[in-house]
Amino acid sequence: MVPLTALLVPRFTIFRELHLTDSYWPLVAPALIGLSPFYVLLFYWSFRRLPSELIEAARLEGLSPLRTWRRIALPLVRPTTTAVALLAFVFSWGNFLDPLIYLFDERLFTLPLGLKSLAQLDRQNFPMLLAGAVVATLPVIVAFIYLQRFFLADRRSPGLD
Amino acid sequence: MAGVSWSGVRKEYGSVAALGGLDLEARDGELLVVVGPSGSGKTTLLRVTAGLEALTAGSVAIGGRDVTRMPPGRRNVAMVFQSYALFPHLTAEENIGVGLEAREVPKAERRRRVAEAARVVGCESLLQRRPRELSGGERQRVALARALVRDPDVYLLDEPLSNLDAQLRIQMRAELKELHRRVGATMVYVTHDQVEALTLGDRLIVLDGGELQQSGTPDELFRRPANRFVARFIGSPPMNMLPAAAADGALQVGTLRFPAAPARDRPLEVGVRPEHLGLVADGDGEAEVQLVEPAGSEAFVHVRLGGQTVVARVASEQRPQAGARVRLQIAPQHLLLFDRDTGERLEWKL
Repeated sequence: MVPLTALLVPRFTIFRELHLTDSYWPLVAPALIGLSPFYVLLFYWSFRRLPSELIEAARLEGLSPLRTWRRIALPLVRPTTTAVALLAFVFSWGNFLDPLIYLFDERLFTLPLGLKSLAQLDRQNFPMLLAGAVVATLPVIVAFIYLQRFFLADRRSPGLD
Repeated sequence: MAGVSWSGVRKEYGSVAALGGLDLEARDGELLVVVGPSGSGKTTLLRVTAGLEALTAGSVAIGGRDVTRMPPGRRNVAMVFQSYALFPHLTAEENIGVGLEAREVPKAERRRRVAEAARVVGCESLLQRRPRELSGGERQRVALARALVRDPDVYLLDEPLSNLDAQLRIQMRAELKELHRRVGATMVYVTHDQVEALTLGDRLIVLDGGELQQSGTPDELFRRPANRFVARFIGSPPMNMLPAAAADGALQVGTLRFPAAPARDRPLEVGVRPEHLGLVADGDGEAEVQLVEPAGSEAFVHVRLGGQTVVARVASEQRPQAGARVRLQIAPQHLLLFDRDTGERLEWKL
């Protein structure tokens, strides 16, 4: 549980050494490789809830550990996968700090940076600022409405059968 | 097909020995039932055979090959779990075929073998359903088909009927026996239900506290139990145990006297099955009827005798009323004699 601010400098150094700054990679990669301990914990709790007999049955059927994970365990924690995907998307979509650090080319600026630019252009133009906020928020709401069925109504989890 | 042999099998969890060095054998094609109360080590025995638990000491061999250090998937055993352990997100067909899929069996061959296994257990119409859409009995059939489809050397069944209602359990019990007859494979069946054990098993193994109490045919265990534990565990209601004393060349059991006694100077007790305990209405009898449990064609009569309660199984039309005084009758050939200290059965002839 290292504080996020303590990671800023080393992460920036790594991406700069890899020549990946001024691209979307530094914004997406941390989410894709599960750097957030919170997401790791969510998966840990979900996998722990799986009945051990299912894993044992898979072992007896001759499934390798990787195949057991892919064919048996992962589909059974789909609600968690969906929730983590949604949380990661919401966090990345609304992330202001990372784009500010890694992006220099204005053409690559993300919506939070764009909103900040709007605010700097005209602080009193609330209709424009609020319209920008709505546009920025809409994908998150749509994503939530679309994905909620997977983690609220998923009946395939063990224990619900 | 192959038999299973366990040599000096010992399993410890910390300081607790779940299995205390067992030497056992399941013969080729035999339906061996391992029976015992909760915590007796019967499921542990199954799990070490499957490779789901590592042994503390000893070895397991299947068909003559030592599998002690072999991973579960390579032992060629199939296990039916108490909860069936069907994968909830897969259809019955996928559940049955998952082991073949892991072995890269071609799809057409897989479908053929899955259909054949489903036909054998009678679940061919359920193949496209998911476990949550199946009843308990149907899940049981799918679990059995999953075991059958790989044609394993040994089938391990861990209390597979315990989640079914009483009627379905009796039906599935008969079907399991028929299945074993048809398949002819070695099966190791674990249960705590002694009726299931007696009706299903070619041979029984009774465990208690991780120790072997007795092994033998159902008849041997029922008629000639090795000790008090087996005598009480096998048979329902359990065998009545009464204190006895040998004196003057006779065996005294309460007010009953039998004209022979073992030449042993130690505390004794006799065991008599409820169906061998006769009750005769007698206003001056030594026992009082405490409770009568009607059970259709028969009744279980709880009788207070001295300081203890014994149970008699009588025909329903002969059952006495609660509170009646009765006299006990025991045919001497049905008496079993036990050492009260060690619990061992003593040979005794009238």
